[in-house]
Amino acid sequence: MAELGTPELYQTTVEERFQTLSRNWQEETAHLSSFTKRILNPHYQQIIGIGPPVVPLLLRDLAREPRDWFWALHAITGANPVSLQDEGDFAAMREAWLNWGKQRGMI
Amino acid sequence: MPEGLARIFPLLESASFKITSPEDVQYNCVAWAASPSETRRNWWPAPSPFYFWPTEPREETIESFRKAFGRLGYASCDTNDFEPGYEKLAIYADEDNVPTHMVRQLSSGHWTSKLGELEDIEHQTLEQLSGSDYGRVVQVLKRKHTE
Repeated sequence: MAELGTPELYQTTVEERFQTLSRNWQEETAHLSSFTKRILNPHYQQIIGIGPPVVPLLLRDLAREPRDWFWALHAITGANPVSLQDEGDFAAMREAWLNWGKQRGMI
Repeated sequence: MPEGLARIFPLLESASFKITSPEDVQYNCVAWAASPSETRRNWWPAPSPFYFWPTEPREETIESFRKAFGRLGYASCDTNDFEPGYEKLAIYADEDNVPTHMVRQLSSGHWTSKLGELEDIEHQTLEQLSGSDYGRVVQVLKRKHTE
């Protein structure tokens, strides 16, 4: 009789899981402009589902390059450090979130 | 051609096209359709401040796009044929009529598209991007040339 395997979720670290989900999300949505289609992609939703442990990883990834992690960060933390005048400006939004993370010692 | 684009857009090679910019996450197709100078922010009728949108309410409908681009002087149009003296845009939508993509016509009669956060391309026909996640063209807009 086959043994029940350990669920994949517990076989990988949060970071490994995030990297896999991030890569898959990028491959499936990079050509899309629709906010809804981008954030409702299952891989993006699974990143949000990881919850608070993924926040430092999102911020570190954002520090490396501009990425559309803003909704995920907001969904997990409830924070929204971006001013209205910067709406849609990913460079300014990135800076606002990185400052938010630095103030909390996350990066 | 980049194999990735051929996989995403199965009809892309049915007519001529060329890549005209590097990848850039800083602007998307709607911003690029609005203006070639709109390369610093992403447009979509999404909650603020996640994306920029010039009108309210922010709804993912063709009407919302018509209203936003109406503010820029565009009105509905029956044909995507090139008309001297006019600028034209086309809106793609999925099977539920939810907008997915926008393109802007060039003075050559060809179209320019920003592919999400990927490259800009210039393509000969609107059909080249159909049959993909973008769906099909459901609305053409035009305004008198402003330059």
